[in-house]
Amino acid sequence: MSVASLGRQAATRRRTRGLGLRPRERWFYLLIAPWLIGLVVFQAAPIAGAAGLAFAEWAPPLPIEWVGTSNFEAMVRDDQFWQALGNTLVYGVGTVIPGLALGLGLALLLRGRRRGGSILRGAVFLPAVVSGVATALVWGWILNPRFGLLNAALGLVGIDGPAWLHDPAWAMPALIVMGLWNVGVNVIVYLAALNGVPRELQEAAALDGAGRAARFRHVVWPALTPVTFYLAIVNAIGAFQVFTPTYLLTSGGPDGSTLTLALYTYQNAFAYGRLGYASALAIAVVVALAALVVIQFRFAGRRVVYLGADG
Amino acid sequence: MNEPSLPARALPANRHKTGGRLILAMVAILAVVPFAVPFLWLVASALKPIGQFYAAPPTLLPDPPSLENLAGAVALVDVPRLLANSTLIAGLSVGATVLSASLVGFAFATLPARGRRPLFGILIVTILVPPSATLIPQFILFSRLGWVGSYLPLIVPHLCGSAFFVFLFRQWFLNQPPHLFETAELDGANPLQAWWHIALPLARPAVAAVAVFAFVGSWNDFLGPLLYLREPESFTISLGLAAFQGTYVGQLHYTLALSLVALIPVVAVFAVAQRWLVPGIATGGWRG
Repeated sequence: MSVASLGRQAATRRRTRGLGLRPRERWFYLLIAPWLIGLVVFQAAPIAGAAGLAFAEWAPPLPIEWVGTSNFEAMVRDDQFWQALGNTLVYGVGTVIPGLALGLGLALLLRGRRRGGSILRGAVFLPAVVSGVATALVWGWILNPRFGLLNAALGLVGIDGPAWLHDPAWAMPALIVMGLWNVGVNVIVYLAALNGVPRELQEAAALDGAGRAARFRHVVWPALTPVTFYLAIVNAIGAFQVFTPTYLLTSGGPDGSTLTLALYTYQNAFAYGRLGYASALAIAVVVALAALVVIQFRFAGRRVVYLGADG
Repeated sequence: MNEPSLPARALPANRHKTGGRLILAMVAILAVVPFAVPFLWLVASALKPIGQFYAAPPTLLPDPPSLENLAGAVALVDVPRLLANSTLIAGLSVGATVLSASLVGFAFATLPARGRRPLFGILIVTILVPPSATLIPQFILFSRLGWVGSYLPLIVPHLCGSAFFVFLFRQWFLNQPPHLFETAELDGANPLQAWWHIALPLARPAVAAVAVFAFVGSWNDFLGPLLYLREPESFTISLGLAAFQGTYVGQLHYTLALSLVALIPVVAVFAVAQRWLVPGIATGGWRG
């Protein structure tokens, strides 16, 4: 073997050690290592696991048993699944769309440095930091048919209030109101986004004689479309996870009127010990959400305006 | 408040008569009422003596305000222990989140590398993965590791930089003048040193925003402690509160007093940090 070819081999070895990465790239991969490890261990592997378990029946400590698509076939015939899906969709539509409108409206109303503005903003943000458990308990008390504040207030104007969480017709609307009480997160995000609307653009439009409404429609709103799009998706995902209020206050009742997919999945996995069926439900949620996101991209995606997008 | 928000009077159309402004202020106050009332009602109810608590129709204010509900709740459950458990878990989670997310965000913002773009794409997609999709296998993983019943499942995942916070930090660092980090490198600092000595101190508003979100998320988490904590002495305040209302079903007056205690720390953190939140996430118009 010639000296030259030995030299070439050594050079190749030197380059392949470190996967052919330049020093800076090595630093990049070193610094993102915590996230990469988490991606594999806490995201990718569990999702693969859930996808696998969806085709199995497993009630530990019994051995795992592969059952093909029978979990999904059972799901199609499962009335409770369809009820949970319907309830979850109602909750989603009831919280996401009003939540976006409320979030934007309140942000527009509460921005700027008016006197007392920070107190008003604080009052809207605060519910968003209250735990789901405390939120559920406070609202459960307010909605109490006998001692509750709401029915007392309705009584003052001569309305005999319903039993709210004990009434199949009113339990879901009550949960939606509880969800909307947390709209402060949207307000924070919209306030941040409003600060990012270039002031020169608004002033130029005002100088051109654009009124308040026209400025909003043609200058402010286009700049808010990316954040609206983001919130619509994230809020929809959040709506599909709603668990705490229905777990604590109604256990899915009365008559299954507040049984959500998250609660039904939890019950199957951790109360009935049906890990395979619960995984199939979880996969169904992922598929439903993915479909929703694709639809949102299809219909809203092309209306999103990116200002100064640079990569 | 010193947030860089747009002063309303910078725009000519807002300059006219104070009448319009007064109406706007009234509308703003009316719009805020539904958000404030449940709070005030919680405080009023928690402080009511038991006779007034269960009055129908309810009285508006406690007369006189009394701490007897709180005292009664504290006698039934070790409240300081619950608060200490939550503080420990939240504190460790916040520290882990801030360090890991800022480090990864810094790398994505400042270190060009092959594969960076697709990896960032994956990062964004993971923001959209619903937690329920990973819940069951994660539970199986943690039980295999023997971690169920310990705080590890509630803390360790935070060491891996949650995707949304990584995204926030990346946006923040992208908006800093790039020569800042290049100068550090010329001075012989490696990227890890540049992150620790230059980037992290510069990112204080983003750190504050992420710390508050992470604290609130950990303090309020319910499903995690519900799945992973077994002994009542190890419960967090959220789980303890839920367990309390399940055990003492007819004792809502105690439960509400406990709810009030549970939210005092988050409200305090939030009141201090509110002014940093909006600037902390105002990351240059959400550029991607």
